[in-house]
Amino acid sequence: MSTVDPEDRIRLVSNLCSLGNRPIIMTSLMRLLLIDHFCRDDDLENVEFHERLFRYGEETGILIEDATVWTPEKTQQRPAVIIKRNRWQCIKRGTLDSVKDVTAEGNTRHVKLWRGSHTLFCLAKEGAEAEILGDEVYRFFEHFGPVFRRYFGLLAFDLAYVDGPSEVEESSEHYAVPVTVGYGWDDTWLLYQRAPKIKKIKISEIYSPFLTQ
Amino acid sequence: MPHFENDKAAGGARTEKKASRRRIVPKLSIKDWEADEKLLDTIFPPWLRIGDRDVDSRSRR
Repeated sequence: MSTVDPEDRIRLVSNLCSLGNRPIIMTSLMRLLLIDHFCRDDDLENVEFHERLFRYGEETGILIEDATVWTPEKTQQRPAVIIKRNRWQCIKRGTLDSVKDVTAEGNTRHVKLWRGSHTLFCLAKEGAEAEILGDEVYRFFEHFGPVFRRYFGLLAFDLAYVDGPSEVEESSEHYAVPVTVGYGWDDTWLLYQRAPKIKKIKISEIYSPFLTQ
Repeated sequence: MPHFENDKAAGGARTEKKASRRRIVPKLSIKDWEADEKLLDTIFPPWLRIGDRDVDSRSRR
């Protein structure tokens, strides 16, 4: 029996992803959270959407889709929430991404901070309907942001801002209210030293073919 | 309602009214959209430095 305790890997399991944050995971997360909110009428503040619940398939009352697969034709007459990821920005922590510590084996731990955002375009045929949809979406993220932040192991997760209503260029029949949600997280990794350390470099060995000539 | 009394006789008038309303609303392109990163500073400021204990919660192996 080994005197060394088994490695504790419980902390490696994340509700978001065991390998850390990824763009496609955050987009999917936004979509799943919105689908979960719009598929039942018990959490919807605005009664206008009680009759327009989300369902998988063509019969859905509200379209919730990633911007990369959305086309204006998909929206038809119903309201829609189109999810688009914005730029992610890495925040350097020290000159070497903050080598926090070096273990006895020579392994080094690094940390980099990140922040990013997603914009949720709340689309509807009428401006007022788009405003109501935007209201439903931004209040959802405003109220449950602290829960999502803790559950997905993020450093920050909050509603950033709500833009004014605009006409959509891609679909002139629709108005949009953009709701932007921001978040931040850390990426931490440990570099294991696998290769033996080079103690000495003999120039004569490297250049021996040339030196013997 | 003075807004609608001429609807039937002058459908074009209502269309014109709607068109004029749309002109004062800015246009937005989902394709070209860029978030205002300065506004994100309130959530996660770039100068933020957090304690090592906080960032040590996950490591990749």
